[in-house]
Amino acid sequence: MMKKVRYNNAESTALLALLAAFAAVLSYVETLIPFNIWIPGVKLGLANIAIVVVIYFYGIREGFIVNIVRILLVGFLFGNMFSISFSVVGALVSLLAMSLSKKTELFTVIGVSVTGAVAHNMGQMLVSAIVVDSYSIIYYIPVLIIAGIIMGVVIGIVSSLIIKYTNIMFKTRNQ
Amino acid sequence: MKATNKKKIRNDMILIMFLCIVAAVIGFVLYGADIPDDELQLQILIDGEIVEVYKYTSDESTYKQFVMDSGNIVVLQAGEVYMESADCPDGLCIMQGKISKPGESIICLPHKLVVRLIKTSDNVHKDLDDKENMTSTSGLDVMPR
Repeated sequence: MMKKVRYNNAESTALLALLAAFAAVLSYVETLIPFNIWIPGVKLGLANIAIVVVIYFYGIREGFIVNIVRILLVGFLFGNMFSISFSVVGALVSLLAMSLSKKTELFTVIGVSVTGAVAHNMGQMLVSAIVVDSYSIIYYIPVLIIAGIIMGVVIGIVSSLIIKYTNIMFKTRNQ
Repeated sequence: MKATNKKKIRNDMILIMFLCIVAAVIGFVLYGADIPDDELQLQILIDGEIVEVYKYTSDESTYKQFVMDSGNIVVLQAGEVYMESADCPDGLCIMQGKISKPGESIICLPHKLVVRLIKTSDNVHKDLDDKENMTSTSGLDVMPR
């Protein structure tokens, strides 16, 4: 039985920082993998492995914060203001979707991850369409949905494995 | 707990299938019929405004280059449209490859530039409306800044 950890003690802080670092490294690893889909902002989303883990061990708020931290970190190290703001939008949308689907308790980790991935892609696409001020991007919707499903499943599987095997590590000792 | 888990997995499948169906439906609607060439238009938009319009042709001998102020160079060659070069930071527009069918597009986000192939008859688009209604009230030229 997984126990929720309060986030205002030293151990939680350290573990969350660890997960944030994990997310950042995953983001970096992602840049090493040649993955080209034509729409800016659409990526493998490997960092979500960490984010999903955070959501399940701690909660949506913590997931949100860790994601922001990760984005800022990666953005300042490897990216630019442009990419940071894009990532933020994708993260917000995907976190919102994941929190909704997790709350319903209807889906497994994989289902939640798929919702997050598809939502992320849709969000990125919407922003791209607004920035570029054209409806042309709409033609990519089907591709993005499928890509979101595939990546969501993969990320979900990895996340669920991590959650299962590191459960001990995150169990609180001070309750 | 186990029963709930099985249900969750089943729900996952339903979710995924639902999304697949949505994608397929949208796909059918968008990628629909093949359009004969002479009805296709090559358009280049910057920030939502049409700055270039060219009659698309799949003629093998065609070579037309559009050099944009933004530093992007769009080429129509032998029926394929692609971004030959660009000085945007990510270069994604070049990697988007070649387009040749209606609806396909190449997008350079940093320059807010869109290259697209559109059916000439399909002009119920807000961008075109802007151009047709272009009066001096906006004070803006159609040309890129």
